[in-house]
Amino acid sequence: MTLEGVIAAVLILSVAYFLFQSTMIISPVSDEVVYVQMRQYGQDALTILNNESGAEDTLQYVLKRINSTYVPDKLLSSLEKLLPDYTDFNLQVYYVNLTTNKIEVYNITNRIPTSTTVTASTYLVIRNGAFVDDSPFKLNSSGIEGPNNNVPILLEVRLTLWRV
Amino acid sequence: MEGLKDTRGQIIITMALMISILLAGLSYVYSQNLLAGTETSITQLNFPKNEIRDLRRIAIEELTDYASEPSSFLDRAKELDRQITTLYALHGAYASIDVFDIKKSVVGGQETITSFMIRIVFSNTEVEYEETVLVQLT
Repeated sequence: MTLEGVIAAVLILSVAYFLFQSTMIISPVSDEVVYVQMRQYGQDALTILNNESGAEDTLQYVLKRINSTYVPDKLLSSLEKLLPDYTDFNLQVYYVNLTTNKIEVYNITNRIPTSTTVTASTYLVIRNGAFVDDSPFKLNSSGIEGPNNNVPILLEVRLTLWRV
Repeated sequence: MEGLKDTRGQIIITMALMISILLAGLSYVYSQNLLAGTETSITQLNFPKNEIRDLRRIAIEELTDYASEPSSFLDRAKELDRQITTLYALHGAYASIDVFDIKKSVVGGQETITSFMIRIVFSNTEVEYEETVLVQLT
């Protein structure tokens, strides 16, 4: 062992040590890339399901019929097929209650998420008259059937995704 | 120590220095790579592409359905605009659709809308989007 060898070893080791200690190396790593991908999956799933085809698993079909007893099995199973196996999700509908002018949320599923989630949203417009009578989104304020039927109701369908 | 000349010792030190510089250089490239990836991901997560696309679809396609009732069309558009502004605000964005310049024609005593203009506005901390569209119905 020579003095130069020892100095060389100390130099290399100290450089390596300081590099691994530095914030340059410990920056937020690849997690975000996974979230981008998950969000894209969610957005694609919502885009596929947001259509007027009248199929039972579309958002339009489900949101017109939803009430306290209706369970949208087909929509949920289609979502499960469209999303990757390693994710779980919650589906919520945000809307403006035109009677009180407040934003309200209707939870279609009520699962417990982990601490890190991503969301994807889509918006759709449904005429008030198209909802079933006991729908949470239906505007019943004036009691006059005619004019109320054509009021556009904007719904935001929000899909919250997380890894399991 | 006797077998080792001064020059060989210097080579060892020089090589160690070169390896250190190489390590530092590699770690710099690596960290730049990570930062670029993270930045790109954050931009993709935040960029409101789908929000703007949905807004255009609502303004141009969905609103057109209501043009078949000329008397209430403007009220419906305002109603929808109010809901859009409220719901988009949930995401920290301002959005609105503003209908103006509605052209009507009367055919056989029946009033119909022939065209209208919509100004679509979307704005959040990163993106300012404004578009004026002419919707021709006949």
